[in-house]
Amino acid sequence: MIRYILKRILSTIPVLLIIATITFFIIRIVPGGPFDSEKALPPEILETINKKYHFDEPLYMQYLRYIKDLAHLDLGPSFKYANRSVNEIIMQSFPVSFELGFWALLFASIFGIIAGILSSLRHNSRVDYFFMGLATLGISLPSFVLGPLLVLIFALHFNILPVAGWSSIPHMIMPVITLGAMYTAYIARLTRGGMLEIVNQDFIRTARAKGLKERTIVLRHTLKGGLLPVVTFLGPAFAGIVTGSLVVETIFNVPGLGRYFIQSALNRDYTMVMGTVLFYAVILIFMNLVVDIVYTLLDPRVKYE
Amino acid sequence: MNILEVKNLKNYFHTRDGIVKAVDDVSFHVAKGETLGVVGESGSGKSVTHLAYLGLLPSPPSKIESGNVHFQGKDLLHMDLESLRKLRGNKISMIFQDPMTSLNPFLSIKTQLMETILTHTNISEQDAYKKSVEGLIQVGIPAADKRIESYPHELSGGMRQRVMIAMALLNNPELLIADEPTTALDVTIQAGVLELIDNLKKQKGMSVILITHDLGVVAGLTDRIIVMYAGQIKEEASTFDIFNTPKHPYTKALLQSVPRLDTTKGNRLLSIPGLPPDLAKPPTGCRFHPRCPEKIDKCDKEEPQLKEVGNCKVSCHLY
Ligand SMILES: Nc1ncnc2c1ncn2[C@@H]1O[C@H](COP(=O)(O)OP(=O)(O)O)[C@@H](O)[C@H]1O
Ligand SMILES: [Mg+2]
Repeated sequence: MIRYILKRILSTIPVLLIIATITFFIIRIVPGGPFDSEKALPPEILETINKKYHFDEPLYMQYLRYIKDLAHLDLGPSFKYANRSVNEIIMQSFPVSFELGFWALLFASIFGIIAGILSSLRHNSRVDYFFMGLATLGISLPSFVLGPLLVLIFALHFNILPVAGWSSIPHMIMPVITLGAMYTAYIARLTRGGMLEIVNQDFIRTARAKGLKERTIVLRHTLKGGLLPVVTFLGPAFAGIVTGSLVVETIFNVPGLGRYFIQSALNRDYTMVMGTVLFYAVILIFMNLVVDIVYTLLDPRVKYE
Repeated sequence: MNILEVKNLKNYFHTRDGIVKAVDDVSFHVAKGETLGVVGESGSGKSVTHLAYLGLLPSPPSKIESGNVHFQGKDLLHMDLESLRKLRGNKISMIFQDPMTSLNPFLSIKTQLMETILTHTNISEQDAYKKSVEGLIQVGIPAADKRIESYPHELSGGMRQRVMIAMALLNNPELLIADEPTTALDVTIQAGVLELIDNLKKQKGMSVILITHDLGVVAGLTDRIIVMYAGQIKEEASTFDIFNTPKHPYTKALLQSVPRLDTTKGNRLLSIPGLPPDLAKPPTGCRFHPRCPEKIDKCDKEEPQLKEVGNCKVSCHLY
């Protein structure tokens, strides 16, 4: 198992290298550069800037330089935020996004799994229709609608929650719900589907024939297999959610990574774009590894060598 | 004394395509210590009959329409669910056809055996563990104290079915229902598993219902046989009479489809010409008449009743 994990970690290096290479050349093909602006800069200033960021060198030299820095885990200076490195920006904003994403996903998992289990136990009943109706609503209601709606009701009308910001627990409630709503809906559906799939298996009939209590049948015999689809979903979802959500962070003015990422793409902040892409890739790869390991814990038939 | 009495049991499935009359007025009994064979083509309602009174069918679509089922004098169809649960896996155990899918792949053999004991008996985990290992030894599983730690996928089909049998017998049931216990197994190990069930039955003095679509399987093991077709009983007789003086044309046809070793053509398997009927729209009169080689005039008009003919019961207009 340890060997398997080490092997998986080592195998991410070429993957990251490929991602770095592709992103590097793609963003440079896109028209526009970091220092274009409406007012043309004086040539001498432009020259100093180009020299400082090695824009005067041939492209392959810039590429090699970037990869060399990357090998030292240095993502380079930001082109837009003067005197700040990409590492610094990520280190500062990622914990905020992580906190928001973590709570949102925890919220989504708890409510999604409970709703999914209840729906599957009362399959095709009013409880089922209620939760699945809610889930459809959750999936089809975009966060740029839900967010402002919550603000309107709880901040402006009832005045019980702050409109925006990220400094106390009350500040966190609405962003967490807004971000978590869609995930809750997905998880509820996946749980229900996974549970129903297991409930119809022969071994559940065996469990019943053995005279086990309904509670044991659900908790011990159904849940483990029924939650496998949720686990598969949670890995990539976690990677996506903790690296920040532009919409939610913008609506509630949360100083997270999501806003930087979009901003940097619009600004052609080359190093910042590459830094966030690579950072996201690392988390995604790591989470997929975690999912695979959790799988072996849930399903004894799955073994990695 | 009869340990199980089933009277006029009807169990229908209410599906989108109509009402499937899977069990339609079935009556039989099992005497204490007896082995009853239940035979019939696949789809004839053998499994549903027994799953129904044990409360093991999904409802909806399944519904018991009428009838009476008594186990040791207790009314199974009208008792509360909790009392029925306490009988299942305890006084009445069941073994299923496919050991590959009937054990939970997510749980170890140990967990699945121990919980069967612990849910019915108030003993310590250590004692339950000991009993579980003993159960595995009893069904001939080598290195039982190691095997008990395995997961189902780590065992062969035959071993899994032995685990299923061990699990069914952990609480010393009075009645064992074995639903095609060897159908999914390799031919070479079928005899061994049947012999095991027979030996354990004699050892423990329990009653057995042995369900199969293959008359060859029950030959040496059963005392009495009921023959089912399209949700109804067509014939009921001692095993000897079924094999030597079969009455119903359907029973005769089933006997012809038994693979025999003594024929010159060697091992052959004939199936009965024609298809089993759609149980949502069963044929009028005798349900077997469209396929019956001895059909007479009234067969498609009048439904025959199960009546005593000599030592047997048969539902056929020829008698
Ligand atoms: N869940 C169900 N819904 C509808 N029909 C069913 C269901 N389960 C079984 N049946 C029908 O009941 C009939 C008897 O099935 P079964 O008792 O399993 O046959 P067998 O004699 O092979 O054991 C079959 O025609 C089958 O199609
Ligand atoms: Mg069957």
